Amino acid sequence: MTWLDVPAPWAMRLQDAASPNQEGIHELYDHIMFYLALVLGLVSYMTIVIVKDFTKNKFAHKQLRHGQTLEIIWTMFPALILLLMSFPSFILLYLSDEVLTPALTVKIVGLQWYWKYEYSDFVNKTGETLEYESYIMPDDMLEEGNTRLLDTDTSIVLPVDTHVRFIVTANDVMHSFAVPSLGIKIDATPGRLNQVSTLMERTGVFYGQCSELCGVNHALMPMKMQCVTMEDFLTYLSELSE
Amino acid sequence: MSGTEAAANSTYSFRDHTTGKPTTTYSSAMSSPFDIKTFKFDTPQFDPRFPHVNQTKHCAQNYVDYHKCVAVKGEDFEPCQIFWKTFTSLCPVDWVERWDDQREAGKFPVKIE
Ligand SMILES: [Cu+2]
Repeated sequence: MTWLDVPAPWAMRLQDAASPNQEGIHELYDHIMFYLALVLGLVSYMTIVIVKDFTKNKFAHKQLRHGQTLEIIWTMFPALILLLMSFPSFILLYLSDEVLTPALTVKIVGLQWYWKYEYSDFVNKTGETLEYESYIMPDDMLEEGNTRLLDTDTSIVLPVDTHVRFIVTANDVMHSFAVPSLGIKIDATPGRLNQVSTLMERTGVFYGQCSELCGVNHALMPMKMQCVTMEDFLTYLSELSE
Repeated sequence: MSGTEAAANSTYSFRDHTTGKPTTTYSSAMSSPFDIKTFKFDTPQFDPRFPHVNQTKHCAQNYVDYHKCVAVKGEDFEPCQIFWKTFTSLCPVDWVERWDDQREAGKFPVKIE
């Protein structure tokens, strides 16, 4: 099975989910789209019917100037739909914000125009925190199969099936850290630490782009996240700590 | 030589980067800290004082608490380490460096003593 984790030509739908949050977003999206289609059908049907034979139509009522019942119906019906949409939406929103038992904290710092990642739960042999920067892969260095404007020189490497907490901030202007496959999008604001978490349920490579206009190279600071097995993650850490 | 082999063949320690003292020492007998058999995740957990998305004060409070703790109990006092682990995991390295400079210059906005 191949997962849709990168933009594809003529892709109309969302990318495949890799975290429970994004699965929840997909579910909510599908659910709301179903009712949206019903409402669209109803409204289009009524409009067409009214336009086609407005003289003898019950809805058209050319001479109608005030209708108490009609007013009540067309106020209550949309209000009820909005209310029914808001409950699952709020449940999902507040569940997504919850960071309960993280196993690992990774700091993400946005800069003009690159990202810096700090794995401060771990230190290298001289006692310094494990940190590195990540720049976009320039067009002339791309190889066959790479994704233009998404691939970077280094990536965030994280273990699979592990609760990860991200602490997101910026050093100059506002940026925004976003990974659609994981359902993450959070502002990186200078002087403020924002917290968000994820649980990746499968290994793979996930991409994202800076989502807050931050200057001329705003489009040239993507983020690349590699989700690997625990063994590979530990090998990566020990290589980083050399 | 791969990273894991190199780590397994040497002795090294984790150092507290503010005091320079070793916190835990690993030797080849104990194997690398990134050995899958012994590896344990350790990161600050949920703190009911800071339940929000904004964790700025979670970081800052622990930085202040660590230095207050050390000022009273001394750098070898083991319980202070929990504050150190929390603020290093949460605060960006740049912030910690800036605050350290401010403390040295006596310009840190919170009284440590
Ligand atoms: Cu940006």
